[in-house]
Amino acid sequence: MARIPFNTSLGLIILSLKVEGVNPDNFRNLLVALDTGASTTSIPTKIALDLGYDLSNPKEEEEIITGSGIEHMKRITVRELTAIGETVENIDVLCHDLPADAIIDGVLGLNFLAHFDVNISFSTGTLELHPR
Amino acid sequence: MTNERLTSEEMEQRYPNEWLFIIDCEISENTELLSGRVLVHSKSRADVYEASGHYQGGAAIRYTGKLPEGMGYLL
Repeated sequence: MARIPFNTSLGLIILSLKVEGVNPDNFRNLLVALDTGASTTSIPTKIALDLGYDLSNPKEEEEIITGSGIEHMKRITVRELTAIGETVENIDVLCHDLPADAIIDGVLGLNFLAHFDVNISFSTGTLELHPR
Repeated sequence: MTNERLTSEEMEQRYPNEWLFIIDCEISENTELLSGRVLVHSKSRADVYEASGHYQGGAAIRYTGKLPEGMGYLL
């Protein structure tokens, strides 16, 4: 079981996400929001490119329903994502750029969280992942 | 760039309300950034993304500020 604290007063659950590059020595550790309303984890387009992923040949380019309308996003498979101390290999992410005013770089969505049982406690300000 | 290793708390104090590109990262078992060396700091996220494009290796990106007053999120 992995556990992290979070700030219950922020209005967002913000956590670290480590995205591994094509080259095993290359990674980016980003701040993202936990988003159980997102089907897929998202990272910035620029970061995906910096990590060596080929966006000219994405797995899919799909329409995604967002709060502000339908957007086209590229879906790629990254080597590893690690968050809350747990790693999922060969997992899809969407390349999506949040507005410049955002203080986060992306979201951690259900395609990562669904590998675990997730406990969120607003009483204690803790987030736990339990192996399924 | 500083060669000085800073903790996450020290980075927030030294570079308030800035975007940071951090190398030589020390990351906890729970994936949290503990410390590192700040390679680039800027008020602009674009500057930090630019730095990312020139760096091969492990790095972290952080914003040290808070959500602006009166602004919320619907992701």
